[in-house]
Amino acid sequence: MHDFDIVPVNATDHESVQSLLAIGEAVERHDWLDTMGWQPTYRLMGLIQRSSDSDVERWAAVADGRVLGWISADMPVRDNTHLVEFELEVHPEHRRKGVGSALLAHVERRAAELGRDTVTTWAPVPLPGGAPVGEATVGFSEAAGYRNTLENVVRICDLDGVDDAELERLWSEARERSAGFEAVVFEGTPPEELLDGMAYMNARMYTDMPLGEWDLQEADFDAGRVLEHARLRRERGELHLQVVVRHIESGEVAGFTEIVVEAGREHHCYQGDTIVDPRFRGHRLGTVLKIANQRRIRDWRPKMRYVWTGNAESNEHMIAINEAVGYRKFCKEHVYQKKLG
Amino acid sequence: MSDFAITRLSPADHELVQSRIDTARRIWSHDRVPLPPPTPTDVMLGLVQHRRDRADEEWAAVADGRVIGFAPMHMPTLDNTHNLQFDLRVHPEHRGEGVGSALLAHVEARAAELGRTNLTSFVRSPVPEGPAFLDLGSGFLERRGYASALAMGLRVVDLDRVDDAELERLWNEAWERAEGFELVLFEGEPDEQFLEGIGYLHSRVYADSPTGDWDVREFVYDAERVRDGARLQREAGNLHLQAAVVHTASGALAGYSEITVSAGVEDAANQGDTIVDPRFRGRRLGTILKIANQRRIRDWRPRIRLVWTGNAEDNRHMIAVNEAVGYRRGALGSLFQKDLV
Repeated sequence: MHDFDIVPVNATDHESVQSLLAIGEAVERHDWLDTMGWQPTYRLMGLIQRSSDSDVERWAAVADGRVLGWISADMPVRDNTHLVEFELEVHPEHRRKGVGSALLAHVERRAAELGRDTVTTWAPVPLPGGAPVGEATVGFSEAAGYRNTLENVVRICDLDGVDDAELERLWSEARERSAGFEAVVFEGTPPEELLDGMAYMNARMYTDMPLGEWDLQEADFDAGRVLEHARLRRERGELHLQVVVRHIESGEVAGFTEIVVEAGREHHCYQGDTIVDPRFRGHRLGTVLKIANQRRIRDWRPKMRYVWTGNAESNEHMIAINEAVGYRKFCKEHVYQKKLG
Repeated sequence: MSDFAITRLSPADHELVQSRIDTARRIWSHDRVPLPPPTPTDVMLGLVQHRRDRADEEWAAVADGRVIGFAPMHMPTLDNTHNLQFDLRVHPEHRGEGVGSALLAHVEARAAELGRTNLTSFVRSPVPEGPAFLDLGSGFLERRGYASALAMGLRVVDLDRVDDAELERLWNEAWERAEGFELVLFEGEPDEQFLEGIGYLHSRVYADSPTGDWDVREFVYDAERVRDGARLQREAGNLHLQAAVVHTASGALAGYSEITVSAGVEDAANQGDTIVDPRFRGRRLGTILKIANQRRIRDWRPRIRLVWTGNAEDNRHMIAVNEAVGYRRGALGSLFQKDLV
């Protein structure tokens, strides 16, 4: 037995919420070397938001009124109902005491009770010779019986280091190849007429990106789900910069990209999904999307400096675009997975 | 008539919280209130954030699972513990049904239970030179024994219309009078060395500026309270632009001014307190603080157009500074007050 209890996280318990935030900050410093810096809004809002995509359970390991570590378990309900995606954080000062193992065993038991057989998580791993992020990732995951199913590489684009002349050259070249398509630029809730097309693009993310052995199945996406995601971002105070390319003749959505600026983050943001419909490939639409969105970040956030993104190592095409527009390798991310027997 | 019940709004009741956010948005657009509505981030975080300087409760009138009226209440805990400040709003389609009266009776009953004898509520009303909008609050409160204790001009500056040459002239003139002082600009949590000084200046706000018949008592504002305020802003993901003037010879904090940009709001901001220590008056420090902070808003948020602020109507000096830097009266704010006996 261990000398801590595992209890559900209560969003209205001020002390325990503050210690969850303190763990987030300590983990950012210890495992991510404070590269992006800690910002609590996303984490805090997560405790009170609800999405119809998934059920979320959060459990904390508590000793003497202090939270030592915590785990969240996200259980998709619209699709992928075999999955439990967890995020586990143990305060660096309380590691190697069985806290992480106990929290994970607890979530695995919950998964089994709920009839879910696949448990996964994303975790940082250093690149050879790169920043020593996530020192505990590999050892902990393997000891807990998890296997890496997908190699991802995290890249960061330093906007101060972007070669504008080269970007302009790529842009002109891509525009020539993409005659017959138009870029639609917007923020926040997408225009009504794009919702169905965007739902389709979102669903394709689940099937078109390289997944390795990660057992992610087809998604059930519709316009309502796109609108709900927009609501959740609005609640979190995020700036959601989006670009869609549309095939002018048919009016169809041919591709989509997004950059997310979290509330309270002035210097770091995320390049999220970018996808082009396979029917419209070969027109440099990925390049058009990426450059169009990257160029307008500073129209909204002049102090923005770094854009983060991640790609499966095998996604050579998207990586080539990213490198061309200024992204450089920072670390790896593994998708660990365990099949419950 | 609708059948409704009054219930305390809980962050765990997702549907009601959503309904509360929608109802607020509906009220603001129906009544054409010119000031920005509360953001969903503010509403949601308000239900879980614990502040050091006050306790909060929010009560909602609920009919058929929908929020048709709401009343957040704030009870200062460090000073003015005789006071309870509330807001009260009713859905446009449910006015004249007794919802407001029932909510007010509930607020007053809670005040009595909590031993709070002084009730205040801030009501906005139109002015001839500003935009037209509905003010139902003034009449409602007057009929129930409340009286306006303090009138404030709510002023707004349109950054597109600021006379930059005039601003430059004021800036240079002010600096001629402000020899021996230096300006410090920062965002987020202030440097440790400024915390106490900022607290002191905040505590002076109501001691040094007109307060009418408002029964406000001495403020207790220490470094810890300033730090807690910074935590709340950070958790909310707000951008908190601050300017301070320091008396070079003594190192004393002579003045302070703050502008807040709420998470998720790209087009408007709020000019909060601007305070100059009475020992250092007559040096145009107020003008320096206002101009310095106003000029950098667009360095961070280029899309912001409107900045709102409020001053007691007889605070002639600060109003003159505000008018000089471009603020014009757009609404009146009245603090209604009633003493429970």
